[in-house]
Amino acid sequence: MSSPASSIAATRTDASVPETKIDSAALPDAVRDTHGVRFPRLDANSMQDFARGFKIWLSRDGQSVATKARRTHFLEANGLTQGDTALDYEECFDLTMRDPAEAARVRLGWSVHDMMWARALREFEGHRDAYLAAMEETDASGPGTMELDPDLVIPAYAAHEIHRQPGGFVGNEFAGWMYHYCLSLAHYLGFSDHDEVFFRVTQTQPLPFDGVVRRVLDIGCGSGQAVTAFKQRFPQAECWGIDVGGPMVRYCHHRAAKMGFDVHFAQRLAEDTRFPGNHFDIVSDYLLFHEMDAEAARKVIAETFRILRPGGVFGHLDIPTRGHPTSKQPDTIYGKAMLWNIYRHNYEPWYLDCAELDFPALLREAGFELDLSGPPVLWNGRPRTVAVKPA
Amino acid sequence: MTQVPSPPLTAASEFIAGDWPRSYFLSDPHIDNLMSALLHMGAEHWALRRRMLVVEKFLRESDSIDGAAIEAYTPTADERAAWDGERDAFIDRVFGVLIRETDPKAGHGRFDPAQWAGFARQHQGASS
Repeated sequence: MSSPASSIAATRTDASVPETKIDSAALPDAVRDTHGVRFPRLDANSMQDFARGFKIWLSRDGQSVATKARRTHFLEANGLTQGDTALDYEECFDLTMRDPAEAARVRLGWSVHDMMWARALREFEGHRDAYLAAMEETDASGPGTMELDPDLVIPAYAAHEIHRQPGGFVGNEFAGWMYHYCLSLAHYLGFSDHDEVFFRVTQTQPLPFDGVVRRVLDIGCGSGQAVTAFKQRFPQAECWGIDVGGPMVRYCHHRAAKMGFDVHFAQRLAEDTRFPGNHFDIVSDYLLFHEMDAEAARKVIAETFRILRPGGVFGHLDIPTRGHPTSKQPDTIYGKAMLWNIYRHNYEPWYLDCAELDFPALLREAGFELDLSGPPVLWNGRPRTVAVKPA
Repeated sequence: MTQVPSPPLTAASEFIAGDWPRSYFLSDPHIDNLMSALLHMGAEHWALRRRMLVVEKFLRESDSIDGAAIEAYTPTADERAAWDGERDAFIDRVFGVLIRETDPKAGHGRFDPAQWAGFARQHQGASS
């Protein structure tokens, strides 16, 4: 490789970057069937179906002409305009909650969200012996491996009931099941019934300059869907996923083993991965950093740099932060109110801190060379930050 | 010698519970609760409607649907007991939210990481 700059250009050129949303109907039958989830009981599926429909309805209503007109009228009645952003996030939220219609919308949004989690938990807890037996069957079987660490010190930043999920990622035996089933059946609103989001994330991951991909790691791997999608893109590579949540890791392995994927999961911290230096060709994260504080984020970036081999690529995909040319922080009263609603009521304690980070600057400080010119990866328009460890 | 069975594997650990179950957005928490109950009612109704669609499809395909018998059916004593339980659980699912605990301070103010500072240390102590 002649220079870091040329390696970045070549990295983008080498990448396979489909421009359209993946159509689940176009997926091979085996892939679609393998990647879809369904509760064994009809009512449990119907509850998630209702939650999906209600979330779609709320979203459409929030974008309607009538809602926009009512918001404008409400602000005018209070002597304000949308652009009066001297108010901080919380003040904007509290102001909008003085409109009963807006408060009702927020109430219903969180009620259906809570119902989504509660009904899934009712299914898993109500049949806990069967679900535990299913995991026990795969705990020690392959393909692939699982490593749990009962002595792992869970950092406080990761121990919250993030997303209002009962017990969060660490505190409930069925956290991985709940996360996967609820997001697939209800929360993604049909965008990822069969892992389409994760295929999109992994298929658009840029390659190292030399095209060599022997080892791939997904940090904060959640329910493991990106890891199995990576394995399908790189069948010869050793694919790993790590997560702080033991229940998440246990479910990841159960799911992957049942699907027949030879992939590896471990309960480890992204800031202390315990992998050798210069080990991975690709490290990827999808929606990880906004779930940790700034100090942990800096440590994770340093650790990612350490374990990537020279020329290796870090693909980062998360919320908009400062420093990225396409990032835009909310500049209207309702935009700021929505951000506060996500932060405070979706229980994302580090969301605002993450949005304030100059993430590209942190990556450069760690030694990475960056490419910030990539196209949007997902339907929400978010681009990937591509960081290359210089050769 | 009696063998003590090993405890089942658990991968779960301590967590910091949020205040979200006690927060409310409207002027009175009971209005929030009524809206949530309405939502749950809608979900229950849709689940039932969806089940009916499935049942009707299979009955039509097997040519065994008998509308008059359905209208005239009286449950047996065992069915009555079971259905009573279903009814009570249904009422709890839909209306249980009306008696949830609320807190006017829940859901307000920025998070204060200082209050969680001891978590990792406490957890480490508990596991060692």
